[in-house]
Amino acid sequence: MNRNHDHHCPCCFLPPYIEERLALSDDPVIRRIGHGTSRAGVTARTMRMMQPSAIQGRNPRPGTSRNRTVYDMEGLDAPLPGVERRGEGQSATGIAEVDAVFENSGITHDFYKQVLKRHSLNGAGYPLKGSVNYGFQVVGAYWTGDQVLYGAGDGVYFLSAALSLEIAAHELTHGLIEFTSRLLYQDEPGALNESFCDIIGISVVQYHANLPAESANWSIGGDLVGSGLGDVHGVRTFLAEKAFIDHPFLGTDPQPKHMRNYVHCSEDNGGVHTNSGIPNHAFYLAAQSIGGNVWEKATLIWYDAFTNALNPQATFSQAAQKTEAAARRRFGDREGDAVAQAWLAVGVEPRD
Amino acid sequence: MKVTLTEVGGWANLRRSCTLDTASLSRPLRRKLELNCRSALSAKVELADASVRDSCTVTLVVEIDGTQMSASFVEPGAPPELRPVLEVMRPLCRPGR
Repeated sequence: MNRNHDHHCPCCFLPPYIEERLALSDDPVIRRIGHGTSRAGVTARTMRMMQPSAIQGRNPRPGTSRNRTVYDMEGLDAPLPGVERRGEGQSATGIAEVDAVFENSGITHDFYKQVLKRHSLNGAGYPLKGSVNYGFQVVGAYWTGDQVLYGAGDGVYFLSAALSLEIAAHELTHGLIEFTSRLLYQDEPGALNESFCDIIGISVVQYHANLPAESANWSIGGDLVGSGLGDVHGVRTFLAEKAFIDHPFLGTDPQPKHMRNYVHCSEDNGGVHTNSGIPNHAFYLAAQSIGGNVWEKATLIWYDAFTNALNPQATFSQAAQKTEAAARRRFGDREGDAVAQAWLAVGVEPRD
Repeated sequence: MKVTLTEVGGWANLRRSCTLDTASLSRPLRRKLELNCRSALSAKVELADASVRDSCTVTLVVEIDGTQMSASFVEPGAPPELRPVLEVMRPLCRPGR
């Protein structure tokens, strides 16, 4: 069985945009470095990124400029990133998926900048790249370590991921994590990784629609659901209830919302998309208790903790401790108490 | 030959699968799919890219005269030999846990 494995490697990290600059240098030696690192591929890049001392963006510099490029894979799997369709400053193409990814990447970039005070994924303007129409009837989207790949779905049960703001924000936030806490993609840290991406995804959607927390539906994946699935509002939810129960195709939503129901399994890197339901629900409870717009307090608390305080092996208990501390530090005891209570309600006790 | 394709995981954390008996296909289609399945089963399986997030696992199971053979691949990053099989099987797949 082919499995994901996270690695640590004592190499230095060179962001792709710097590699590209090096590759264009007039100096043949520098050019060779650029080409060499680019050819090393995504795996080697990530292995370099795993070196803790090379962490980028822990002290992000706010900036202004977006740097988006959208490509079209035209249904193919390779070579990435595909045919370039739209870059920064270029007008709409008329291709719905291309223009949606371009806009949604911009909305996410602006959320990072205006709300999180962060300039892109690494805090220094990391280019946002997306390729639409990846593969044959691919459902969902992937973060490759360098860019987002969007599947077109099957058109019946699942629609194109490229049209969803929530999915764009979720996938790009996987990149942000790689530049900050580098949460391992396995078991509890993996579920925290997934949860933080869901949290930023839903925060960007609520922010963009100017939706107060109490008016939002807190459902994830509604954009992806095709008519073949009938009356399903999402593939998971931040709420205590199940996103779907006894559905003829989907069965019952497997996400737990309390530690006593934590799912121990080998699939999906130890159930990272399943157990993320627990921290997701804690976030929801904290946001409801704090009140107001989610992006004004709750999202900032989680951002502080998840980017500046957690280590790659972080547990749910450590996330509880760090978010509570972040809430007290940034806002005060009322918010700190709300966060602590939210984690206790999902069965997680704060522990350093 | 009985062919089963199952996909698990991904952003949506869903399962979709289908089973096809190649005896139900026309002779040319049957030969083509059976050849493609054999190629996919013998394709080199690379270690999954550790940097990929929201990947899914695609498992191909082939049964011939009661003997089962299977291979699992991580997508994105599945070998090109799997693609012709996906083109036949994915349109037949339904979601289900």
